[in-house]
Amino acid sequence: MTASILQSPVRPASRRRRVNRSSPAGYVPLILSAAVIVIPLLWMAIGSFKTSDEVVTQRLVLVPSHPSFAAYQTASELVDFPRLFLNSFIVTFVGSLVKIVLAITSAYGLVFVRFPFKRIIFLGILVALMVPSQAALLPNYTFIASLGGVNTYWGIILPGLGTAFGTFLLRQHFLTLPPELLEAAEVDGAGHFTRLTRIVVPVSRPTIATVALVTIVTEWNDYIWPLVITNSQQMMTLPVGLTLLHNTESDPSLYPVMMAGAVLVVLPVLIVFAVLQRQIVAGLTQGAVK
Amino acid sequence: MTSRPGVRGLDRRAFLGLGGAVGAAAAVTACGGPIVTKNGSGTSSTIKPPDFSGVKPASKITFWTDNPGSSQQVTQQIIDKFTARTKIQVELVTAGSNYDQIAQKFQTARVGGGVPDLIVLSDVWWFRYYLQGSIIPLDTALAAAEIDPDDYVPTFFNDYRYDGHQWAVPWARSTPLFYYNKNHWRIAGLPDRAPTTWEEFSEWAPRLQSVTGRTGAQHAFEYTSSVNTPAWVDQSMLWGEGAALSAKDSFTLTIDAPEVVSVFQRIQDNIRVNKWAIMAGSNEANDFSAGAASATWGSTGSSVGIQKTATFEIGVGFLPGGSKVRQPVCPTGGAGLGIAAQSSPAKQLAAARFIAFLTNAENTVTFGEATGYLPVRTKVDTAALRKANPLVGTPLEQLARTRSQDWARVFIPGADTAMTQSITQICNSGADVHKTLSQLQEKVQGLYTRQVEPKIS
Repeated sequence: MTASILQSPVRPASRRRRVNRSSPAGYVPLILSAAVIVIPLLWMAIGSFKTSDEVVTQRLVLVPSHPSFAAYQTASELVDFPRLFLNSFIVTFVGSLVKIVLAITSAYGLVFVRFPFKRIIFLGILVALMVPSQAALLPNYTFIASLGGVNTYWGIILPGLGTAFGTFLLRQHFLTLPPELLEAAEVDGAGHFTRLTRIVVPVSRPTIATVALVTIVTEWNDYIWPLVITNSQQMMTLPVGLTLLHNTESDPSLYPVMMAGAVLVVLPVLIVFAVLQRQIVAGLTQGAVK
Repeated sequence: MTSRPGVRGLDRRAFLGLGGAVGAAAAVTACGGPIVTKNGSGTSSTIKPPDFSGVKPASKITFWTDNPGSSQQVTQQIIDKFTARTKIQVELVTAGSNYDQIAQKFQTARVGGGVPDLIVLSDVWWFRYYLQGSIIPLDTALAAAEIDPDDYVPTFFNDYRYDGHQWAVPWARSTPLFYYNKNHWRIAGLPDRAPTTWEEFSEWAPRLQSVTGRTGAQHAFEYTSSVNTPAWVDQSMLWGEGAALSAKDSFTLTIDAPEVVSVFQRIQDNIRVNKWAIMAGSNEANDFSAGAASATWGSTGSSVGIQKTATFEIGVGFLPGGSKVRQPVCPTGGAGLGIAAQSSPAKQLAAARFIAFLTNAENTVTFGEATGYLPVRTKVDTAALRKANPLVGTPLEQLARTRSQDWARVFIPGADTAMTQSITQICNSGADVHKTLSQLQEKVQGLYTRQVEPKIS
């Protein structure tokens, strides 16, 4: 869903933008929707610098009276953040890379390669899209555990690799590519691999960036699977590691600590988003072929 | 460009295909839900605790916990001491952030492998593990680890006794307390103590509610939020009126008995008619710490966090008694430790040794100082504890007034969740109390007939 929102305003947006620039009213929905998204995050970030009685209070404390990194300190005493970062980075990097490559190649195959039962295979992929990953949790666990994948990077990464979402999105996009483009290359003697890497991938950059963004965010935030497949603190990813900050009993004094942990988890995603965001925009402007 | 396959509108064939896909998805989903199944050994008549004669303790064990009371650091300290003394390594694994997550993970591990040797068990989960045969009876393990059962606080220890065997050892145990805001009490002109009965409090509460303009409170009292298992503390009010969720030490349910209905009717009236109470939205300990509620009740495990956060003076007291029973009306709660059946005898023995160390007189106090939990041993020096946590004296004295929980809540899988739902309906949606409780009785009865009865008879 996120993908189509990011992707759809290709042409209309560029035309409309000029209209909006002249009227300040156009900014109102923009500011409103940004506020809805930004304020909770900002509140979390501010909260991580507060003392617990400034978080758990009936007063509105906008600016902490004694801002400090105490919560970050407590959080890093409780959790080995460098290790968790490393784990999350490895899992996200390898996982997303393989996922994206698989999605591009499988979508290419589904659209541009002629072979029997294509629609049935595509239907199978749609089925996979509809199965919530939670439902496959137990079978996956049994399988991976029997292969010895508990507490290993490949154990965390492997079951999520089949990305129906990416394949689906890219297939739909590839279908919209003008066939003439590929026919011309074929006439020039380009094989499938050349056509994929030299034509299809470059012209599809915005879509691929979208898939990459969604994949990276999903991998980074994935919680339930890494929780189940890891036991050792050495192998936990960041979201799982955050549970170390949570207390089973109600403990109001832990809120700043939890927010500090959440800020540390969110930051890398924000950076990735900022980078890929530019990619998407760049892709939009230069992606036109005709 | 318009009529390419895949981008055209959904025609009939595509729709049928899609329907098939949904069906297939449903079929895939159908396998692998969490079901309580019995795993071979362990019917009540055939239970035999493992024999540890000649077994040497393993050199490494795994311990799954959710770090109740933010206990990760203190537990690790105790583990380090244990390893230094015995050369047995204990890997502390945070296997979730609450008891349900631990349970979910334990269930998956039982099927898929990778079970821990030692696991933390909450009051409402251990019996399920007993039914499944996934924990061992500890009698022989305790003897082999030279643990003297008589040295544990009897209510805590006996909570895990069933069918003539011991199934767990108390560890992070708590009781609920009555917390009150001393400032608000002063402003309302109330004596500086917790109410002795709920009748007394129902006279105090309107006075607290009438001065909210000066105290800044929203309500005089907050009942337990739906995320914090309200049925746990609510038992106390039932017991005070001579009622219970189930008859003592039996599975005979009494959830829709007239006395139970009248207690919950009073709770609902305090919220909806008298308007001096409310069911906490997310967490009563937060609201109390923020001064939004003048009083609440909650676990001693929260007392350390509340003291760190609250900027006012906190008062604590015993849970108020009822019109029929003054004491004991206080349930016990929290978690114990169990040993996995799938673990090897050598590891089970090492785990038992670790239990002995973790819950010994010295460490149970160290643990209590850091978390607010109560010592599980009788022969302990509580002076250090009282110094670290000035509020702990009250729950320590209250221990003598505790009562083991009703089987309906703690022994029937899923019953506590069902109770939480019904109590939430009664408190928040103003549901008809008698009708809701009859439905709850029926539901819990069904859970019992399906999941417990076949396995214990």
